[in-house]
Amino acid sequence: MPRNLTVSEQVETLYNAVPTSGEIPYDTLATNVIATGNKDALNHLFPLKRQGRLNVRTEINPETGKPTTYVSRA
Amino acid sequence: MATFMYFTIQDGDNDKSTIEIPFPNSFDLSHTANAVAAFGAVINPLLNGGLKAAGIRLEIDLSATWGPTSLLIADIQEQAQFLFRVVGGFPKILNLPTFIETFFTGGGSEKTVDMTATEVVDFVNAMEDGLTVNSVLYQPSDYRGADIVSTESAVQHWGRNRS
Repeated sequence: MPRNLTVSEQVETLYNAVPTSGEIPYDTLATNVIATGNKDALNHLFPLKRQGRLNVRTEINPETGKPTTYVSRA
Repeated sequence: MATFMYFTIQDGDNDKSTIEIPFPNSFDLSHTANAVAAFGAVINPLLNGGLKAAGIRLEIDLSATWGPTSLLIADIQEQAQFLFRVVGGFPKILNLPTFIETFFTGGGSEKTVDMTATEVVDFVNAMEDGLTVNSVLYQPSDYRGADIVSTESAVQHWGRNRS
């Protein structure tokens, strides 16, 4: 059974799951992080945004009317 | 000063509650329909109830878009309470009635909103940083028009039954 990650390890797990260039849809990012067994790392999305390490933007697809949130490294 | 976007939410007993999201007074009223539809798109996935109407200065019928398609379990009194902070640290509270139970984590009276759920991330980021529609950004604020900069907490809340 894998050990629980420390808070700083969770932060880096999330940050490292974001591509070094370009954006990733949050849904894909969450799927990738959950697959590593570290779902709690996702709780650091907004703190990392506030720290200026991640950019997070939400856009409505004009054709479907549905929102998508994109994450990228700052 | 702010402009107020409101949403009327209906539950399974046809009880209704209205929430308001302020925008700075720079909000362009000619974009009302786009902005209302955009914020409806991030609020509706969080609710068991149905969005019945919305608007700013004129009411827009949402029956052809989001509902009202209230589930029988939808209850106006079951809410999620979001506490946002604006520039200067002032609070901005927004209660979302008929919030879907599965978006809560924890148990008993200590339930909090799951801030990792995609639908919650969409809504929270829209409140903090706005929503982009056709390259136009719609950015909420508090009642004074101050920019929302962070989310301090999001918890289960039991509200009044209003109709």
